Amino acid sequence: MFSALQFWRLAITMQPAKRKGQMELMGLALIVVIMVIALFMAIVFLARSPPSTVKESFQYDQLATNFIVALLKTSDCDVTVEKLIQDCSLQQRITCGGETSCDQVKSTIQEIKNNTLDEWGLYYNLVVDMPVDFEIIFASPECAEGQQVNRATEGFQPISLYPSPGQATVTLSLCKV
Amino acid sequence: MNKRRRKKAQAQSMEMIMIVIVVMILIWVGIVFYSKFKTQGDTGKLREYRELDMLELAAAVSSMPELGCSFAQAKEVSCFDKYKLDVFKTQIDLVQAGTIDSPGSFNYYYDQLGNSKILLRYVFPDDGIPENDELLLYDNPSTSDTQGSESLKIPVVIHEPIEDVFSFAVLEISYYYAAG
Repeated sequence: MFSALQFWRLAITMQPAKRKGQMELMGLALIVVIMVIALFMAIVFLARSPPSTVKESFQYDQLATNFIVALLKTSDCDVTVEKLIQDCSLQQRITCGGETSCDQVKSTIQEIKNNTLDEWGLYYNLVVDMPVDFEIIFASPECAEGQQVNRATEGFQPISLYPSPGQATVTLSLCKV
Repeated sequence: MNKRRRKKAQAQSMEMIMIVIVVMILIWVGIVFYSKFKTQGDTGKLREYRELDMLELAAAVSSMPELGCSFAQAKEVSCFDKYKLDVFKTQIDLVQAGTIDSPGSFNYYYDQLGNSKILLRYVFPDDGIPENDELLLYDNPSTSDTQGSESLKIPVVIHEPIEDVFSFAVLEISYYYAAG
């Protein structure tokens, strides 16, 4: 291995002409190195993906929260979706068109998300978690639990079941694929 | 001896010329890259300003007290009153069609909404919603020949206070800007 110390010792003891040649070679190598570094930096800079825009970040932040707020207030079978979730989590006394509150709320949420999230081509994971043996999960395959994706934002709304203990939750995660 | 010296001098001047050429090429490449990045940066800034204008518009529409639901004097979030929307639409339509002469009211909204389009699309429930599931509240395109638009969708509820029914809807806000 030709170390730097050996190089300089050789350069000092060398003939002046040879030393000059060595120095010129070093200068040339230095120029090549600088050009390669500059080229590499330019390629890295050009290949860099554009940063996320203001609109995109605002849309993702607001969409999940607004979607859940609007969904829970929406009327269905003379009550709100929130009331249907509460009833589904407790006594299941509400029936609508022959369906229980659980089936009704599931079909309502499905219809709304079909006409919004699916239509807009978003990747999402929409979960209504209730303390009963009935779950509502709608998820794009790309955004399902366990997938390694960039979860852009999450909207979350707990629903109190007072005077009964516990709570139901509605969560909407939007993913960037 | 003289011939050898002259040859050496020629070689040195050639070397100098080559160095100058290489340096000039490097400077030229640098200028090209700089101008390219500068242009990209300016385009990005322009787009960012347009998006900020649109977000300002979205915030203005969402917080208009003459459209929002209110219960016991408290304003509801993401909620619009169906009858207030109808009155707003009728007023804007009449002024734009020239049926009533009230430039003051249109100018008031023009200051707030500018060149934009505000459309409400009903999603759920299906019954009792307007024709085509849509309600065009305001549309004022720019007079510019070439124009682009940025749009944003906001989920909201529309309250019908007499029947006390809440409908899920989407507020679609488009902001027009002169392009080119």
